[in-house]
Amino acid sequence: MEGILFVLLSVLALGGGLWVLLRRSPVDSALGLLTTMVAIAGHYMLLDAPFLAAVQLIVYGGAVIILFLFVIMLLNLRQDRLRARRLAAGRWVYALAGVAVLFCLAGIFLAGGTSGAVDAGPSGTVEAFGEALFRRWVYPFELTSVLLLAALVGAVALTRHAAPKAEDKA
Amino acid sequence: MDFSGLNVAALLPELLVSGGGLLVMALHAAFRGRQDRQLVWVSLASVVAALAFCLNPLTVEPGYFGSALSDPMAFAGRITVLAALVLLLPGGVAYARSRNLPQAEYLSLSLFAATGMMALASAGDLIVLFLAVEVLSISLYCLAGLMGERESSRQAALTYFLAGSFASGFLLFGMALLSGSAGTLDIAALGTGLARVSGTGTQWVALGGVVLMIAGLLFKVGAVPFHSWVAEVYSGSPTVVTAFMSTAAKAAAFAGFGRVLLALGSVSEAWVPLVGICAGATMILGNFTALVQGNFKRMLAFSSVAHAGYLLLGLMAVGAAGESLEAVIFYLLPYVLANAALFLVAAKVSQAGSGNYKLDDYKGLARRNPWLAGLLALLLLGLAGMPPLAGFMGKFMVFSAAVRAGHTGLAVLGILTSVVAVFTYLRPVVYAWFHEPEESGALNLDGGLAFVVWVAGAGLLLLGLWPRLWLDLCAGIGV
Amino acid sequence: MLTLILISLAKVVAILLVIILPLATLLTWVERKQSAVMQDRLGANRADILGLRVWGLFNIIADGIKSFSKEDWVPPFANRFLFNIAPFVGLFAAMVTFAVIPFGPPIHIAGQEIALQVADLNVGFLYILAFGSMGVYSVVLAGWSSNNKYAQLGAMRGISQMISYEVVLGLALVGVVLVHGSVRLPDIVAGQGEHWFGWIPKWGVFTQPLAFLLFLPAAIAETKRVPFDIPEGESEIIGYNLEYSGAKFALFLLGEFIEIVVLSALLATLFFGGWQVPWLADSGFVFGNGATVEMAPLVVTVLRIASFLLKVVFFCWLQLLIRWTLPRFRFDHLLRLGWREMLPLALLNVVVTAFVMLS
Repeated sequence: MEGILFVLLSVLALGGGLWVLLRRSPVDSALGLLTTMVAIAGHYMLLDAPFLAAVQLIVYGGAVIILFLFVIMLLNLRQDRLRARRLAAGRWVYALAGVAVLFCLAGIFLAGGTSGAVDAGPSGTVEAFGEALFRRWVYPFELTSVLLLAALVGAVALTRHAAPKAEDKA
Repeated sequence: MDFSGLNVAALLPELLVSGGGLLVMALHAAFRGRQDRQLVWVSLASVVAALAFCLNPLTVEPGYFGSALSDPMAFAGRITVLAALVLLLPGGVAYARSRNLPQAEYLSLSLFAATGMMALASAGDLIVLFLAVEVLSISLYCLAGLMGERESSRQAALTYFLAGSFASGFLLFGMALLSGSAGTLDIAALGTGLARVSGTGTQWVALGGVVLMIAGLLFKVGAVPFHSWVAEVYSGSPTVVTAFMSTAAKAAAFAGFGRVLLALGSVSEAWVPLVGICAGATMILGNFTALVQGNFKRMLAFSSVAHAGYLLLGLMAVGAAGESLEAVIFYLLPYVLANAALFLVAAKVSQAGSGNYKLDDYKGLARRNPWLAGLLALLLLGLAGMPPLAGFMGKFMVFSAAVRAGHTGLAVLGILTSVVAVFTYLRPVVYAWFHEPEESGALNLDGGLAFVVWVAGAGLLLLGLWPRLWLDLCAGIGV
Repeated sequence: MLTLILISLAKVVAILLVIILPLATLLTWVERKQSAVMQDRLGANRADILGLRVWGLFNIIADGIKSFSKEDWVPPFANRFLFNIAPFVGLFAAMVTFAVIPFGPPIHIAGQEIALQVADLNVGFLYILAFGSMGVYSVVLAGWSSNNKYAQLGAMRGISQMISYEVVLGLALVGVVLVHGSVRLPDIVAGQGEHWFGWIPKWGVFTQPLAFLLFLPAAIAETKRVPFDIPEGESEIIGYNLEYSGAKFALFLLGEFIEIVVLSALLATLFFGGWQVPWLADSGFVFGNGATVEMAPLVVTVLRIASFLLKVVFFCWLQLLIRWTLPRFRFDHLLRLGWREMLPLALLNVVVTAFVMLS
C-alpha cells in the first residue's frame, strides 16, 4: 500500500516538475509546480509528518503558488503573447549540464546507498514538532522572523518610489 | 516553562542590534517619518551597547543549546561587524540624506543585516549558519536597490539577488548532503561524524556536500570563479552599502565559514586543493583587474576580490595543518577599517568632483586638504600591506600560516600579487600628492567623516604596531 | 482493516447525504424565501406538481432541471480542461473540510468505539486551513481559463480578498487552539463541555470573543458572499464565473451553499461547543446548583447530535440574514479592513491569549 502510494506520489512530483519546464504557458507551469508541492505533502504524510504536510499545503499550495498565479495574471502573461524564445544550440548545452549534474548526484547517492545516518527523531505530530521548534530550535525560529521582517522592510523600501519627504514639509 | 539551557545572554549582541532595527522602524512609524534625523542615534546606541557587551560579556557559555557560540572567533567576528557599523552608520545616514534615500529603511535594514552577520560569526549549527547567511543577504539585496530611481542601483540589486539566490541554493544543498552524511547539524561535531563514515559510500555524499558548500561560500565572498557579480553590484549599489557589503558582510562570511572548514579539517584533502586553486586565481585576477580600473569604486571592488583570495589562503592553512583561525581573524579587522573609511572618502571626493568616482578626482587632493590626502595614503598603504601598518601584519600572518601548512607556492604567489596591489593603491596617492588639482578650493570634511577617517587611520597604525592587542583581546573574551 | 474502511465510508456517505447535500440544496430555497421575507415579497412559490406547491419547495427541483438542461457553453480560446475542473475544485475543497469536524460524541456499537468524525487528524485545524486555502484555486482557474478580461479581473479581486482574509482566519483560530492546548477538533469540542461556576459553558464564543468576532467576517469573506462578494459582484460588476452557464454555473452556486454549511459547522464546533449541550454530561444533565437529571446514554447521544445539527442550521440562517442585510464593501475598504484593522486585532488576540494561558 505504502509502496504504491510512494511510487504514485513520486511520479506526480516528478511529472509536475517536468510540466513546469515543458509547458510554455506560465499558468500551466505554476499548476505543475502545485502538483509537485501537493505530491511532496503526500510524501510527508507517508513519512508520518502530518504537521509538515499540512504546512506544505498551506504555505505552498495556499500562498506561494497563488501569489505566482496572481503575478502572472497581473502581468497578463498569456502564452500567445509570450515570445517563443528558443535557446537554439544553447539549450542542448543546458540540457547536457543538467544531465551531468543528475548523473553526479545519482552516482553519489548510489555510492552512498541508504545509510540512514540521520535519526529521524520523534514522529512529526504537532506536539513533537512544537516541542522541537520552540525549545531546541527556538533560535533559528527567531532568526527566521528577523529574516522575514528584513524582507518586508526591504520590499516596502524598494517599492516606494521617490517617497515624498516628510521633513521638507515640516 | 523551562528556559534552562537557553542562556539568553549569549545572544545579547544579536538581540540588541535586531531590537535596534525594530525600534528604528517603530519610531519611524510612530513619528510618521518626521524625526528620521534622530534615528541614527537610536541605531548607534544599540550598536554601541552590543559592542560594549562584546568587549565585556556577561557570559561566555554557549547559548541556545549550542546554536550560539561564544568562542574568540564569535566575538572577533561580532566586534569586527559592529566596528564597521560604528564607522559606517553616521556617514551612511548623511549619504542617504543627501541623495534622498529612505533613512529609516537604510538604518533598520543595516541593523538587520548586521544581526545576520553576527549570527553567522557565532553560528554553532548549520541551520543557524544558513539562516544567518540569508538574513544578511536579503537585507543587503534590498540595501543595494535603495537608490531605486537609478538604473544601476536596481540592476545591482537584481544581479546581487540572482547570484545570491543561486549561491544559497548551492549552500543549502551542500549542507543537506553534509549534515545528512555526518548525522549531525552541529558544526563542531561534523568532523567526528564524517570520520565515522569515512571509507563507506556515504563519504562520497559528504564530499559532494563539501564541494557544493564551498561553491556557495565562494559565491558569497565573490571569489573566482564566482566573482562575476562583484563589479556590477559593488559599483551600482549606493556607496555606503557597497562599503558595508565589502567589509562587514565579508568578515562575517569568513568567520562563519572558517568555523565550518575548521571542523572539516579531517577531510581537508577533499577541499584544500579546490580552495587553493580558487584562492590563487582570485589573488591574480582581483589584483590585476584592480590595477587597470580608472574608477575608484570599481578599483576598491576588485581589490576586495583580491583580499578574499588572501583570506581563502588563510582558511586553507586552517584546514590542513590544524592552524588556528588567528591569521584570518587578524586580517579582517584592519581590512574592514580601511575599506569602510575608503568607501566613505570615495563618496565624499566623488561628490565634490566628477560625481562618478573617477580616479582623476584625486588629482591634487593634497593641495585641497592635506590631512585627507595624508590619511588617504595611510589607508591605501594599509590595505596594500605596507609595514608598519596593520595590513602588513595581516598579510604576514596569513602568508606564514600558509607556509607552515605547506602551501609555499601559494604564499609566494600571494606576495607577488601583493606587489601588484601596491601599484594599484599607490595610483590615487600619487594623483593626490604629485598632480595639479583640476579644481581649486578646499575640500572640507564634515565631523562624521573626519571621525571615521581618523579612527580608521589610528586603528591601522595601532594594530600594526601592537598586533597582539587585538588577538589577546579576542582570546581574553571568549572561551 | 475492512471494517475500518467500511465505517469510514459509512461516515462519509452519512455526512454527505444527511448533512451537507440536503442542507445545501435546501438553502437554495431558503435563501430565496429569506430574501423575499426581508424585502416584503412572496418569493419562490410558482413551481407546482399537480397543483401542489408546498411553499415553493419544488422550486429546488425546477432550478435543478433548468440549469442542467441549459446549454453547457465553453468560450472559444478558453482552456477547456481548467475551465471544466474549476467548479469541481471549489466543491471538493469545501466538502473535504468536513472530514475533520466531529458531529457527535464517540458512540459504541458492538464493543467498538466509533468517532462521529471522518478523520481524527492530529493536525485537525491545520487541515481546515490547508483545504480552505485550496478553495481559491477554483476562483483563479475559473477566471483565468475563461479567457475573458472581466473574469480575470474578478479572479484577481478574488485572490487578493481570499488570501488577505485567510491570514486573519488562521490567526483567529490560533487563539482557540491556545485556549484548548490542542489542534485536534475533538479536544477542542471536549474542552468546551466544561462550565464556569457550573453554569456558564466554556464555549469558544465566551473564552475567545474577539476571535469569534474576527473569524465570522473573515470566514464570510472566504465564502465570497455579500458583503464580501466583490470577486463575483453579480449585481453589476460581474466576476470570475461570468463565462459559466448551465450545470457548471450551478456547481459554483452549489459550492457556495456547501461553503455556508461547512462554515456553520466550523462556527458551531469552534465557538459554540460543537455537539455539546450546556450542562449535559455523559450521565445526563448536571446543573450548577447540583440538581441532576439522569438520562440513558442513547438519549444523550441523540441530544448531542441534534444540538450540533441545530447549531449548524442556525448559523446557516444567520449567514443568509447577514447576506440580505448588509451592502457590499468597496474594494479598498475591504483590503484596509482586513490588513489594517482585523489583522492587528487578531495578532493582539493571540498575544493576549498566550499571556493569559501562560500565567
